[in-house]
Amino acid sequence: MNRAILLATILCVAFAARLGYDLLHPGATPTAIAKPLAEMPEDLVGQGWSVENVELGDDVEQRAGVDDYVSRVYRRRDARISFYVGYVTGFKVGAVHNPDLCNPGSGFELVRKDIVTIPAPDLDVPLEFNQYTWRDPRSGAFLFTLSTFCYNGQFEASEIALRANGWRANYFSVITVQGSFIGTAENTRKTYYDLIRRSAPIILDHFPK
Amino acid sequence: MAVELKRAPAPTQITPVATIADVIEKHWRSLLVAVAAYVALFWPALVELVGFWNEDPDFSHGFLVPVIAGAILWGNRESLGKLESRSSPVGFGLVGIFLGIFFVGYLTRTNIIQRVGLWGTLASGCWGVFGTALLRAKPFPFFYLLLAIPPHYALLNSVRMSLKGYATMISCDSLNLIGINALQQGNLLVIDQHRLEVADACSGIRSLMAIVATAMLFAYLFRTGAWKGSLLVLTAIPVTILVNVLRILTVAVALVSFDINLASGTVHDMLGMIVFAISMVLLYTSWLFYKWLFRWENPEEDNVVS
Repeated sequence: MNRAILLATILCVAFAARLGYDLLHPGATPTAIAKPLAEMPEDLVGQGWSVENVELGDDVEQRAGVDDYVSRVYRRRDARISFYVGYVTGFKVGAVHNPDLCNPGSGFELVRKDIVTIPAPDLDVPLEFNQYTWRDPRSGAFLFTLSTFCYNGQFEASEIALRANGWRANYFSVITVQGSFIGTAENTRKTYYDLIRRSAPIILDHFPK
Repeated sequence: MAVELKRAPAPTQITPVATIADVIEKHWRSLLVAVAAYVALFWPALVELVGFWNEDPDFSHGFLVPVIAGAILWGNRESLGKLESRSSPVGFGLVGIFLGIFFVGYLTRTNIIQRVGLWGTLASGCWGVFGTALLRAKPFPFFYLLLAIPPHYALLNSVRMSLKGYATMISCDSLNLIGINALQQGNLLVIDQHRLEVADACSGIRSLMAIVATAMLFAYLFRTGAWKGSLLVLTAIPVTILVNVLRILTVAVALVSFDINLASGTVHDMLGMIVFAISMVLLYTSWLFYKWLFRWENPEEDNVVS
């Protein structure tokens, strides 16, 4: 076999393999959100917190690539927590956002990252989240983040898993809760975990079944 | 007595090694099929890449890069066509590796990995079919193509943040030096009652990508060689910061001293083009300076490569 035919054959076989993969994985039917996320109840953190709904600018919304979202800031005298859920109909690679990239891009330094499963006895799906601690070198302040992806009723912390399984997703969403530390590390985790426990069933209720 | 008959040795036949032009002429149909299969295979990645160049102004130079690389190869087609062409098993091996990389990227929907596969398959495919001589004679266009591939978002953002930080800091110091009281707050410059934001678009990453691409082209056209060329390309970083500071200073002085807002609009865009032209002059001046400083002799410099 001459070399040009060899190269043409290799590339044709590779093309056939890609085509075969595409045919076997046609992708799920994109499904619109069941209830607008803006209708989520505001009381998710508990007593003593004020809440403010934040609108993303058009350019930010376009970059985020979401079809629906809710973005809120909960404030207390000594603390601030931002709560964000972005919903994407179907699967769009460009809409996959992750604090691993976005926070260093905003100047934060990663101090620690773990994958945690937040205990939620009332839910029949595990709440798997990425848990981060960041430091802002400009102010020295620390930032606590919980982030995950949710698709087809599952909470999946791994971006790689989402990307690999995206073809099966009727929808996916990015869920990020982050803000200041609230007293001790233990108290911080408790406050944020409680927020996730309260909001997770409500979020799932807004998504298609 | 038996007579031993010895056959005279057959004259050695020297098979002429095919040139690249011979290979193209003889196998053009197969090569055409290979090109078509390449485009079909990488079609989703190509569409995504072109979309990225189109949507992100920091990478609009991506459209020019393949054109320049292609023009260099086309401009040298006669000399390249005469090169001996021996098929390279290493090249074909690399085709397999880069196809594997592409499929990993395709299955995990990771654009950057797909783009590496896209570039690598092209370069190693040429290596496999046309042989090492092609890449040895003209490696530049293949490496230059890498500039069309946007780096990972994390790296890009980190560079963007650093450039923005340096530009804001130096601008603030420079303003104070020329008697305008300025205060830096993150990427904000507070000057009297004015607040100037050094936004992402003003980070200088756009200029950096364009200046690096031009510096590489300079290095190629002036035949600098590897390390002199690397020095020239590295010079793009301070040049980018310098011209960006110049732009920020111009905007700040116009606002504070003359109450003219150059922070947006057509004039702002024109200012961008002017500082880019200045950066080209600085880049060339740097080259002349290095030549003078290190007493580089480059007899081929005037022979601009076709």
